[in-house]
Amino acid sequence: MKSNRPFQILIIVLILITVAFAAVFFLIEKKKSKVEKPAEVIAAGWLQFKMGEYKQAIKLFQKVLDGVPENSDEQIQALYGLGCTNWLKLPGGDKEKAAELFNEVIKRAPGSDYDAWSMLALVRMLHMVPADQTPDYPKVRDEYQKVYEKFPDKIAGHEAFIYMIGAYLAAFTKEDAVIAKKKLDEFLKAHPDSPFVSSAWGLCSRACETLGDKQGQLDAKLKELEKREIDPANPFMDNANAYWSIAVVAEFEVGDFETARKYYKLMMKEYPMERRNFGAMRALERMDALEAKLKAEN
Amino acid sequence: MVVYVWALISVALYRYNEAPPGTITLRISHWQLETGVRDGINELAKEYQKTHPNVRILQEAIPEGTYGQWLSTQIMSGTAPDIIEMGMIPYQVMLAYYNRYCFVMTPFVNKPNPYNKDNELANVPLRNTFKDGMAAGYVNELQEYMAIPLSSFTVRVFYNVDLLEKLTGANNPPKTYREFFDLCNKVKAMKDEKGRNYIPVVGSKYHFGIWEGALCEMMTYKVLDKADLNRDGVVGNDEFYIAIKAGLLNFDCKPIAAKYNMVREIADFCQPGFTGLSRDEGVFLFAQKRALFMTTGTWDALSLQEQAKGNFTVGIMDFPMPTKDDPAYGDVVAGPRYENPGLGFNYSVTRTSRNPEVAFDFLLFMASKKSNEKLNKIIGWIPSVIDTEIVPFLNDFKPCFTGIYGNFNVWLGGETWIRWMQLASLYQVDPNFTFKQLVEQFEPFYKEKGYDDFMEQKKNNKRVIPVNERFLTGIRSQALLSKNDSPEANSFWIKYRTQTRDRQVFYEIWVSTQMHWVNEGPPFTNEYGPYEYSPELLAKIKERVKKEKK
Amino acid sequence: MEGKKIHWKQVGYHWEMYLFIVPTIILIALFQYYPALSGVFHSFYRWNGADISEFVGFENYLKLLKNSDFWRSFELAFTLGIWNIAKMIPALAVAVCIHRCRGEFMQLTYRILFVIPMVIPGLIIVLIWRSFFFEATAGYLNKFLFSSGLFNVLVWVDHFFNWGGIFKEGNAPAWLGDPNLIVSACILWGFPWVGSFAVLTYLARLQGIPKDIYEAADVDGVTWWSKFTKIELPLITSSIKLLLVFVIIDTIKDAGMILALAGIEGGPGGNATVPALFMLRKAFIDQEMGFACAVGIILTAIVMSLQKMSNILTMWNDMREWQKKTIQGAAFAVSILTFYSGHFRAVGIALLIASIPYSDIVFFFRNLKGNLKIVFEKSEAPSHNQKAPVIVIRDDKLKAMNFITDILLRGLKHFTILFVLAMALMPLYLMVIVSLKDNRQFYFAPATLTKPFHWENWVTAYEMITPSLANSLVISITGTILTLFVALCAAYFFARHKMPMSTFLWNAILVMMMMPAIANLIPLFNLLNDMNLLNTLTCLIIVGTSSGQIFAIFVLRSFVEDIPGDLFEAAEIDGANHFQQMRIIVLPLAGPILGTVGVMNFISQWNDFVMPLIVIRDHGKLPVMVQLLRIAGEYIKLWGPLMAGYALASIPIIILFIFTMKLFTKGLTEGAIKG
Repeated sequence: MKSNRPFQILIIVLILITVAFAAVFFLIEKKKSKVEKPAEVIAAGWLQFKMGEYKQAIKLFQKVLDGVPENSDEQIQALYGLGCTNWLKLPGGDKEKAAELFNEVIKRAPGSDYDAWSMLALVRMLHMVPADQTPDYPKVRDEYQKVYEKFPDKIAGHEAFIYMIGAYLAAFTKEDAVIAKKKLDEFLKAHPDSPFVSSAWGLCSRACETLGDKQGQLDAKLKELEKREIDPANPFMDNANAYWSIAVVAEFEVGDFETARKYYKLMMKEYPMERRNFGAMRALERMDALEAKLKAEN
Repeated sequence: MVVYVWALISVALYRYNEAPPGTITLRISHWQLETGVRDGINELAKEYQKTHPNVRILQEAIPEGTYGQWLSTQIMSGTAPDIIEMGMIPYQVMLAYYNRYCFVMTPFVNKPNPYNKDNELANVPLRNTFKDGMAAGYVNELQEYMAIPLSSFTVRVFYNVDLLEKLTGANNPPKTYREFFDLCNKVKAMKDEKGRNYIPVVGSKYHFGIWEGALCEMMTYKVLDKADLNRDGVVGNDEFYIAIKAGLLNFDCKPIAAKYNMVREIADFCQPGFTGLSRDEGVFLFAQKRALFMTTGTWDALSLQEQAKGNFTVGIMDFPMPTKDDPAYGDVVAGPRYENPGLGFNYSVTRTSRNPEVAFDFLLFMASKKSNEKLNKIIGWIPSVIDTEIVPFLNDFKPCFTGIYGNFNVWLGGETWIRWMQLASLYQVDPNFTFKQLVEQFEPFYKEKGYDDFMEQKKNNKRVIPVNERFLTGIRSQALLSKNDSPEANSFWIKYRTQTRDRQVFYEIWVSTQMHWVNEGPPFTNEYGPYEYSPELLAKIKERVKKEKK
Repeated sequence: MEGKKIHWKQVGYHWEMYLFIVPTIILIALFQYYPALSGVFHSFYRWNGADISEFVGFENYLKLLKNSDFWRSFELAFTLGIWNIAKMIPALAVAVCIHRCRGEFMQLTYRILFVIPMVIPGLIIVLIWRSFFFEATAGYLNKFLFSSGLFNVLVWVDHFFNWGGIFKEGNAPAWLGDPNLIVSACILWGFPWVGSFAVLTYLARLQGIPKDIYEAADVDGVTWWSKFTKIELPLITSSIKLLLVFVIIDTIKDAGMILALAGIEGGPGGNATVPALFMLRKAFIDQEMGFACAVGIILTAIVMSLQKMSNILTMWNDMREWQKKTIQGAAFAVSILTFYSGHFRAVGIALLIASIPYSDIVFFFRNLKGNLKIVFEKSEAPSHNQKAPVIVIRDDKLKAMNFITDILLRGLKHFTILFVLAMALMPLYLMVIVSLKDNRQFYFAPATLTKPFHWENWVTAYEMITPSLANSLVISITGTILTLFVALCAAYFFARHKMPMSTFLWNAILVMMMMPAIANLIPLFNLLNDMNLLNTLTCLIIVGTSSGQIFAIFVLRSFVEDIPGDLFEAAEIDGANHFQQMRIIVLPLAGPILGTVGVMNFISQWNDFVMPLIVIRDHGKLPVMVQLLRIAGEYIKLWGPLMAGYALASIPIIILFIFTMKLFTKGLTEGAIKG
């Protein structure tokens, strides 16, 4: 009878090789599951989000979520990223899942910036309804108000305030404009250095317009310009619009020709290629002509 | 066998001539096959190589008909050139390419261009060295600078100087619209040696589009006075509809009637059937000396001269605007034509470049004052950099920055747009179809059906809000991830806040304002429009003037 | 020779046979099957060809089924296909006319003259038509219509049929600019459509008709028309039927000529978008590669269905009556159902056409004609036992009439040939004339010779296209040599013995014949990219060799099968192995057929421009057709050097064909057109 020893040795070797492979594989997977540089992975996830690759973004955020210590900053960031991606992904967002994730952030990181952003995101989800529907403005305003009240000193809180005022003014009623104006006055008093102060003044001007307070409208516009932030890396972010807007309000709403002239001329001087410069020239001629006519009549 | 061996040797020699090791090869691609472009870039490449001897620059000029497909193929295969002129692809695809495959230039735009160190722009931030603040290279959807523009473009009217002299006895081109009109009428009746009528104005789909946009459209400037409901200096298509619906404006108002009267007049001067012709076919007529006037842009100036060389002299003139005392158009013309700086010839650096720093360096070199001037002198285009000289031939192309622009904006999409295109096309080609008929057939339809299209447009506006939210979330993430209080973080936050305000908060208010106006009526009447003083205001001003006089 | 069936146990004695098929397997597996499978795979993905790859299931297919542009492209393909069938008539007519020439010298002369328009690359013809014939203001087509008065007829027809003013008094038709005319331009280009090898193919067939039949027909007084319908047409009918289906299939598969004529946008309004162009646009402009792969799969499915239909057509006469009626009825029912669907209307039309019982209709009209026939024949009184025979009695007047008719017909025959030849040579004439002009001379007298002659244009053209000419020569010659070598080996494998797996491999090759190459273009591009072969001449040679295999093996196999088996047996007895048998027996006999296949392959590789357009990036590596396309896209056209360039690009082919024509024709007769 032939010896089976070589065959037996072969089987044992095969089993050993299989075990070795399994062990190596297991170690590699274990190593992979521990995320070495979560900040980089989170940044990569946001990059995929920006490029519209939502599935990839979710994978990356999930990887961080699974691979970092519980309740760590990175985990909170990953949760927030997952929430935003689930909410805004295409072709259709998963609002329920997103709400779940945002609530998880609120639960795990109370009082943090991400808590504020998550709370704001929940209200934004409520505000952004399909195009053929109108948002439930009263409810939306209340929710924004809650965010603002909870985070009166955070950017997210101020942003919530701005959205809230926008929700009042979008309803286009005088009553809502009165409420908005009152809230704005309080906000501007309490937070004169808010990063959103220029936006607040802009909304104030809008409210005054609805209320027929023309001088208030002009004053608010001037304040808006004064507090305006300019992005130095945006060629379209200039003051031409603001100058023109102030000038026309001054000319046609308030009758303040001095202010109007000042800003028409400022626009022509600072923005020589601005296409409204011809309109500004016409305006100057128009104002001169009117004043001359009225003086002559008198 | 002999032929085959010759072919093999030729192919082998081409291999041999490829760059020696250690050389950095930069590839630059574009579709500008106009005269002088390739020479201009080659010249700059030679200049650059004097100071960078280890850099070799290869140019790939691809015909525009195949450029889009060629570019896509190169990008997909990861072999895109280092520097590309982005274009000839659908806009959404272009945005995707910018987003995925091109380097962002924003970090560099506020630093001076090192190649300007010997001139007065030495300390001027890069973006301010361009005539439009580098706006042409800014992609609004991405909120980043993605390209550097190298030239400026405007449009003008070209004419055959010799033919003008032959037909009229003088070679002075018409300065006003009335002179132009009279001249064209005269030329239209004249015949050449073969008994064919001369064609006063070259027409084709491409050329007529320029006539309409650059000249006829100017007649509608004063629509602003009735329809600029938000007083932002421009009449949007939504404001236009609201004004028409509310009766503040009619299609047969003077400015619009003037535009279409002029369209009819110029169409009558073009050859029959011009709407179906391509650009090349129009140029062919001009080259054959059968047509007197033709319009195109600076991009064609030198090419036209080249084509006409030895045949006839090409002259350039501005579009002949009507004067204020013109019997037909004097009422509606408020001033000269406005032209924006119109920068273009944009180049980006691709992420597949093996030497992106060198590629970007070469771009900065091309965008320096000296090089940009030289490049455009060779090509016969206008430089994009400020304070540069242009070739005397192009002096007539200097844009006018204080002037009027068009305000006729009937686009609402949907059925109104389809109907408009049909009627407007018919109006262009059928001399028996009058403007009155056009208005009669369109205005009631526009008012009635336009409401549905307007509402659909508002829905589309609302659909943009989630798109903006995605965009803002992206910027917010960059701001959150940036180091606190760093200039980068600061820039992102400012960007975020201003875009939040403009794209979400005020945008929603504007949409709801339009909904209010279209249903309840705008806050103006036929008594006084947006740029007229209300009776109350007049009284107030009168009071003030009285007080001042005292 | 019927190949001996070899069983698995005998493989050991013939193992070296498999070495003959290895190169073919590698080429076809790698460059045909892999892209096809990759295409299927990627059709289920949202894939941009680069970094985006997301599984979407059947979404691409559902999107495609709802895409009206895609189905409109099929309608166009069918329209063009039907017109392409009609465009076969001039080639057929010319072939018959040449065949009827009595003098062999005349026949030979005409045959040689017709070589030239046949071998001028199609792309050059398209470019010439684009620049010279279709040009609205000074193009030859419009000039012809105006000067002949045909334009007025068209205006009247437009008015009568209410076409909406496509042809209007005083308006020169813009053939390439008017969305209503672009399709007509796609049909008209290339008039009189005697390109490709149709004339030679028909001639080769016709030459197979024994002269005795014609002599007998003359004795019987058969008219020239009857000779055509009763003698010539039946003999070439089988190939016409097949050609019909292949013509439609080619129209669906083709994108090259439409791309050159109307651009990748498909002309004004995209009205000239054929399915393959739609696919190219989706892939390379819209970057929807996955979707484009789905388009390719659907294209393949449709082409395969049409192939199946063609098989049914070839077996039609062998089917029973009930089978024929069932198929026709089913086709009719499906066509009614699909006709009103909007998206499938093109398919509905095709099925409707296929379901019409032509033979029944023809039979009906034939009987009708028989009853109305004016009888010139005088008949003898019938005998009691048999039916009266029809006896032809020649009247003297009839004889004279026949003689005059004969002269007129001969004149008409030569006139037809010369007219078609003149029209076919027009592009060459224009090339030569314009190549000696500068732009100024061209603008003022585009069609007539003007002095001074600018011979320097040829020098400029030579400098412009020489590098690309060298590239094309290397690609075409090397590719052809490789194709012939590999295909002959494979043909030997299939024909010599029935080896195990040979049926499977043969079917695998046949399947490739049915797949439109363009459907696999995108995955093939991806494969070449992964293999780092992009932007190399090697890639074009290898891909050309691989795609040339299919037809070459098909033809060469028939040839090898026709070699008497005794020769091989004798060699085996003498101890020759398969390699020696190949060298001693097959190669010496294969001259003509290799010539034919080689010439066709060379011309195919020379003319190819879609593949090089996509894979070659460097200017110095472009083949000549792509280089011409680029030069034609120049903004400032130097017409003289451009035409000289076109002529230079055509000369190698013309020379090649003139020297190999005899070989080519012999090969055509012997093997290439079998089946």
